[in-house]
Amino acid sequence: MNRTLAWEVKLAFFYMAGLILLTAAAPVLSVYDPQAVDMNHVLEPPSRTHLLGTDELGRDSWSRLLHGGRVSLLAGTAAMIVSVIAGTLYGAVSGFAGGVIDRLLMRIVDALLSIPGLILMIGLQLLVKPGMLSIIFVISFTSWMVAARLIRTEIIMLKKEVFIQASTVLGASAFHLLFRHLLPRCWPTIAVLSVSGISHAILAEATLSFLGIGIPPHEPSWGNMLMGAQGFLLGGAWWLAVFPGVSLMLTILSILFIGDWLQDRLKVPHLRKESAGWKRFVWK
Amino acid sequence: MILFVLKRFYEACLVLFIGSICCFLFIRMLPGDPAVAVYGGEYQKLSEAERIRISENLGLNEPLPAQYMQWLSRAVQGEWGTSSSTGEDVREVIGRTLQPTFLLLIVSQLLIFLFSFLPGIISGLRRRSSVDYVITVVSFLFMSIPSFWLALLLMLFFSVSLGLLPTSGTGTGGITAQLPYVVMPAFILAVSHIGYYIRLLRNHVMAVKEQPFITALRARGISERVILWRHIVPNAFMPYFSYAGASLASALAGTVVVETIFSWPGLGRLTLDSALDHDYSVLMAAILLSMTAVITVNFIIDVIGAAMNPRLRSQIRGAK
Repeated sequence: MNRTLAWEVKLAFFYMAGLILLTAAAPVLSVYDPQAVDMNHVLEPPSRTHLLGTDELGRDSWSRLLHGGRVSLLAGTAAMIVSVIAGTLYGAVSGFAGGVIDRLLMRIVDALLSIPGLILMIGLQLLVKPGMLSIIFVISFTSWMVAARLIRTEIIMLKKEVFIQASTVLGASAFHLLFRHLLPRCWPTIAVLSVSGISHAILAEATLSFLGIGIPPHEPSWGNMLMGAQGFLLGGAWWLAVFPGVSLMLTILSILFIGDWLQDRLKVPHLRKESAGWKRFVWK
Repeated sequence: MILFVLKRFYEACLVLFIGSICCFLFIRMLPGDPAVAVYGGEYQKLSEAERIRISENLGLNEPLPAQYMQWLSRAVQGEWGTSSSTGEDVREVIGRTLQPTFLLLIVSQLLIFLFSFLPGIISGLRRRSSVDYVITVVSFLFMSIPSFWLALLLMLFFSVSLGLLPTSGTGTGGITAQLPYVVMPAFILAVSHIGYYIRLLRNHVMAVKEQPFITALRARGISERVILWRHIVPNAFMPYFSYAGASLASALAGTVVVETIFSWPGLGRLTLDSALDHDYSVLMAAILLSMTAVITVNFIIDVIGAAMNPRLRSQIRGAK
């Protein structure tokens, strides 16, 4: 492992930092309200007044892009945090308990994993009202299983270590063992899972919004913008599809590069071996 | 071997059983009366007494486990009710979608193998070379392209600008008539997976290449070509092949997006449409069917894998 960062990882960090700054400053940087309808300036190509053009309702694409980025990053991060915490706890309990409990808990994970992710999300969307919170719930409910599996494997490996036996002999409680000894040693896995979880969640949010069952259409989000662009692309309104799509792709790409770099750097042992883990993240 | 198959079969059944419980609980949580799901629109026309009789007949007054058993036995016997939006038998609605989805999945799987096989091997053999570098960047790029966005761009390019491929529909007649229609959706479905297949093959080729038996073969003067095609590739191929089973779930999820964009009359689009129409009996059948397909395919691939690699027979997935 070399000490200097590869240029693509540098670029990835640079892009993510820029994106976070830009979206955080969205209200300052955007002149127009992202939801303001202006029927006098419909479907205008990029110009000096509207940097990235306007959409079919005359809404400014630049400010929608910035505000949409906010939604994507927020939903992605929140969903990732919920799913990683839930998955880690579930996997830790399962691996630590062992025996029948472990087998049962893992078969539940298997069953949930064999329902295609997006289809599970579509089903769950029927139970909740559309909106930011429900999106976060739906995405995290359908993506905690990978974390659970990996953490369980790790806990099972760690459980056999001598220092755990020593601690048990000294009378440590299960709670103490789990939270003071076992889980802290899983952190490289958790870190890598968190990074790949964000890209998964951002894509999931965009896909759901694109299919019209995600963030409500009037609110800006990259998926929504692309859904809107669908109808006008064939009429030549390329700017509607290109900018949100490119930002989405670059975001995912940057997160992938950062995740790969982190995985190399932290030397996460079984993430590579158990390819069962990260392959579940492809489902777009 | 037989023991392995039996054990693996038992496991698959168990997962299917738990999955069906999840589905059943999910139906219960949905808003609306389950009786409506069975009788569709007709239910509104019934009188109060008939409704009570129906819930009695459907066993809606019994405890949940008993209801689950009834529901399961009906589902196994193929009584999936009627679609609430069209009034057709769910079996027919689902049945129509199977052939298009199957075709789409097969073509995209072939494209995946076609586009990932050589790049994966090359970048595994030439690790850290410029070729490996380019292939890695491209495969990351493929992983990160949102499929629905790619679909829009390709449609614009191939259908609108060049007029080469149709944007929607399936084509009438045999498979050959359907091919031009299936190419674009299948390619888009494949793109998001190609990157992962390349990475997987690359990592395994890299690992096999370093094994002592390869050095031993080389020491015996076996030609590099034989070493590559007779020893490295077959060893690295099995995980690559079995990945097809594991990625089936994501491929099925991908069909929802692709089929919706290209108005391909398959299972994925049906799932989304039935969810949007609140057509619960169709939705449920679609979910159960995709789940069963994933579990079955994974079972078959595991058995093939065990038949080809005896070491896999001794350990059934994970630590147990």
